[in-house]
Amino acid sequence: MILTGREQFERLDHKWTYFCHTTTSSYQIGPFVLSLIFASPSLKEKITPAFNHLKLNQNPTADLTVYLWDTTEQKLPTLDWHSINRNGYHGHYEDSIYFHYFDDINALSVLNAKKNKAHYIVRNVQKLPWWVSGSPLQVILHAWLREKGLQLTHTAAVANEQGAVLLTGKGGSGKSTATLSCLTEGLYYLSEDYCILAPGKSPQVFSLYQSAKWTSHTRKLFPHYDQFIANPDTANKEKALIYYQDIFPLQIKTSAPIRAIVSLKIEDTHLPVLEKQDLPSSLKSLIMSTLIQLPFSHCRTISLLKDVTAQIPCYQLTLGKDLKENTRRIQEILL
Amino acid sequence: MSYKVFSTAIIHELLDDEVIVANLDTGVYYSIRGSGVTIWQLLLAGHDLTSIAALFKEKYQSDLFASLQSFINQILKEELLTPTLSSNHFIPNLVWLEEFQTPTLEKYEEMKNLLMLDPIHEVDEQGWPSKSL
Repeated sequence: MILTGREQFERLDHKWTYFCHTTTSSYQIGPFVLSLIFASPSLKEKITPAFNHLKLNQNPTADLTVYLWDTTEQKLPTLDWHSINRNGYHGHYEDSIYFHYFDDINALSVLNAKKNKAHYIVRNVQKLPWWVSGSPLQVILHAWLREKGLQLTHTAAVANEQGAVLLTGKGGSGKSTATLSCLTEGLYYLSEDYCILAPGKSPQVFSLYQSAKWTSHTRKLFPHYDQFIANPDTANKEKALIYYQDIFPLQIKTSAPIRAIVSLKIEDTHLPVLEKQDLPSSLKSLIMSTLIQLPFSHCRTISLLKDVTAQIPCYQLTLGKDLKENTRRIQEILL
Repeated sequence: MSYKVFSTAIIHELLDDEVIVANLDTGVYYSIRGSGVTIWQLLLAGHDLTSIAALFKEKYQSDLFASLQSFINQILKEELLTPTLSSNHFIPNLVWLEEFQTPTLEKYEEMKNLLMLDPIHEVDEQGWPSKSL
């Protein structure tokens, strides 16, 4: 069946009216208010912990509203799956409506950018893998934020009182361990994996998730934090999910001006080495890991990242085995 | 024959002495280096192999036709650019290296497997797509 994007969105909107007992939670995402309206408590339990540090006590008028539901309660309306899945993981865009079907976990994200409304639908919340709780609604937020001139970006970020350092690098480059080491030395957390970057005279980084995914290597370095693991059943086979607010409740920042970009790499040395790096090399690291990780990547993603990073000093930090020294190098950049 | 970007899924950016190109449909990305950067710029500006070879001969006083042809063939094979009938061309702000450096196209396929999805054929009782058996 051939359906336009708008017709499909209307069908989802109509289906939503069948849900009677919904609950709303609101969050401050950068300069915007995000409202999440849940059809079931179990989905709320899965999705909201990562946003807890951004929770608002009231429900003000939302800039973006997301309706979250599970098809064990209401089945999906008839949709045009051939068009929705045309581009596979990279999603389908039509008439200001973004569709993204993630077949591995049976999750459908649909954003109507003109109406600032979205639906996030899963087949069965009980079968969602643990990592969905670590970076929920990523696809919807990425597409919507870019429409608003902000860029969801694959990078860690830590800060002191004056500003933040972005810690970039692909998986395995030491972002998680470096972030945790910085927190243990008193710096503030903004992001371990994904954060929001805003261009401007003084580019800003906004926190999005307060979650972390630690490998067994990171856990071995900090075994006393094992008590905070949120996915004890799967943590030993896969990564461990942690919420930073549980461990460092007073060291979480929601925004900061960006002072530097630091590309991380690991080498078998004791002491770290910090060197100046040219902007193109740093930008490449940031662009590539963001483009490849997130659906709906676009030329605009590159231009936003270029705008953000244009005036910011860049470094390369070769991490050593001495974690305190690694952190000291990052603190020096922030001085 | 001129060339244009193969599709809207191909995005590219010049970063100092390197061009990065990503194919958003396949998740494969590329790094163009050496004199490949200048060749890429000229191809996007509407120049064909003959025209590019003439410009390189003028710049480097050497016949580099075979090297240029080999590089352009790689780009076409990877479906980053496609032939077009348009004959308009211009001279952009070119990155000319002091000396000719063999053009290289490095390919990175880290995300390819994730993107190789099966087509959808039917929907199940909850309305979700099911793959063909």
